[in-house]
Amino acid sequence: MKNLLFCVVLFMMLASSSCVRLRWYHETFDQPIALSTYSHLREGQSNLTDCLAALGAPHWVRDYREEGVAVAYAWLDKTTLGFTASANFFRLAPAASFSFDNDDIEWPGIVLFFDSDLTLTEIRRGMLDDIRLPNERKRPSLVE
Amino acid sequence: MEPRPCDFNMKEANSPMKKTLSGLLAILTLTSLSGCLLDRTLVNEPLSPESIQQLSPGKTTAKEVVDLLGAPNDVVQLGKRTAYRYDSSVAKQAGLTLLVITFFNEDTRTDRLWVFFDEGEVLSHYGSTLSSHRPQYALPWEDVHSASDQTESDANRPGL
Repeated sequence: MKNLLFCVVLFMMLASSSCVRLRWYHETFDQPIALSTYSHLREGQSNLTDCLAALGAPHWVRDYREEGVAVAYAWLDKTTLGFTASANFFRLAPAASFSFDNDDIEWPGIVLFFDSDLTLTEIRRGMLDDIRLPNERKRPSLVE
Repeated sequence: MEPRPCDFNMKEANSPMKKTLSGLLAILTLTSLSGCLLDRTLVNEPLSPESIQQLSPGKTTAKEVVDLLGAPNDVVQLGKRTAYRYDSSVAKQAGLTLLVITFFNEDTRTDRLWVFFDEGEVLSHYGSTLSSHRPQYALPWEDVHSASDQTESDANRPGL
């Protein structure tokens, strides 16, 4: 009986908000695009109409080089596991805590580049931060 | 020495009581330290499939698009061309806390429409994706992209 009570008390202590927390989060944003969805698109042959018909509306559209266009599709399917442990040593030390999360969000996606005639020139697939071109111009914004 | 008839065997007598007490404590602990959450977040009104079907490349003008769909969420200048973005999103969140572990799932789907205009402000291309009716309340281990679920939710959206 003592063991049982001890277990219950220990469990209640751990479960209280400041002790131990485990997290299992899953986040999805739109649907991943399968390679087969756009495998029929050909660089130098397909145009913007073909790409929009195959992939639907992009998430963003930007100008690219001289009169060209870049369109990007993104999605997210991410699982995050987290652990937090903390303790407050009253009058001995400040509250101590430790946490771990693998929640650095990187957006997978594809970017399609079109020339001035809106003919497909290139398709890139990967993490959006990696595949956007460095010389891609930013949209003008108001200066306050 | 033989036990007398009135001797009380503590071990045997406590066994059912212990089980009942343990059960009650477990239920009490589980109920007092658990919680659940269901939430839905809507950003902009879902796009109308019927309105999108009225778009006609080579004919529809930018003014007609705005009359039909309202003010766009974004306008992008593409050299001499322009593109308007219309979008809407629905996110469904479900969470469950059991003692020390929290399970949480967020499923977000969007309706998107991009319309491209030539330099004469006539519609040249458009692309649409309508999926804001597909998000699900789920737990982290559930598949929210299953084809059967999508077919079922597509059937409930008029105009698709």
